[in-house]
Amino acid sequence: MLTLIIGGAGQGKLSYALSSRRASQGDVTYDPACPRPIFAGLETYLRQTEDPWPALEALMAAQRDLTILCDEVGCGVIPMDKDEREWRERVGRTCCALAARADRVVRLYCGIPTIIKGV
Amino acid sequence: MLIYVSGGAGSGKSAFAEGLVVQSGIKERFYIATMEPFGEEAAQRIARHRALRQGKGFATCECPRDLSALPLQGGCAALLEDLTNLFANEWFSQRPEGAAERVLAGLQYLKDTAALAVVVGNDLFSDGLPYDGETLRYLRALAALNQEAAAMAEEVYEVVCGIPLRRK
Repeated sequence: MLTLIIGGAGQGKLSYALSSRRASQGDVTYDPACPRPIFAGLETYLRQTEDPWPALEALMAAQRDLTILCDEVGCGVIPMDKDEREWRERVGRTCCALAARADRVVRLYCGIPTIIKGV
Repeated sequence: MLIYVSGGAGSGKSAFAEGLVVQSGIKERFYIATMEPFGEEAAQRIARHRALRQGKGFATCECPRDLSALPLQGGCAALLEDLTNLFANEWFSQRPEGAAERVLAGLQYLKDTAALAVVVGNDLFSDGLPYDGETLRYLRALAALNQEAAAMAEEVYEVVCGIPLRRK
């Protein structure tokens, strides 16, 4: 089971992930190389790597029931900086590809979850 | 029939918009390209979109401005990509005065001529950053234009992570 949780910064993604999974902070990783059931901060990880897929594939293989959290970052003015533009595009494309594979996609808005894929 | 499709950067809105045209079954398909190929990044972006459209039966028309003057076959399916670029070209390389009216007249022409017109827009209003006078003026005008496009449209979708959310 793969769940993708998206939403703007500070919208309650982590709280929702913890409560819906009855998980604790100890279940959360911020580095796909240290596999845990909840991987938070995909957008931050994507600043360090151009190709996240080897690490993501390994994480998905290690965690059969995995929740990935990612900030939505694409809804602003085109950044002046080229690296920022490329990062923003990479976050969007990675989320599209994960959403296509996910069993469930949840969007958090003001703490309110909307299931936009799956049940 | 006018459909307005919007979303953030890399949200999958183009692929969804193309799908709407392909699924309509209309054989005459026009892709109205608005981006002027200045610089390497624009060229890369155009190449990526061309590859995405490959084999889907689109004829490409370049239309960086003056949409109402574009010769378009009645009853066709037309995909305008995108409203932000068209408006920016009208605003910055022509003049801000009347830019919104020129674009809206173009959208009306598109809606009246094409059997299906799909218009792609961008959400760029949620980064919370402060902008100076001219940029702010442009952003407000663009946001108003997006609302007008959505008001003209029979259907409106917001695309998130490749997932279309119907808003109208």
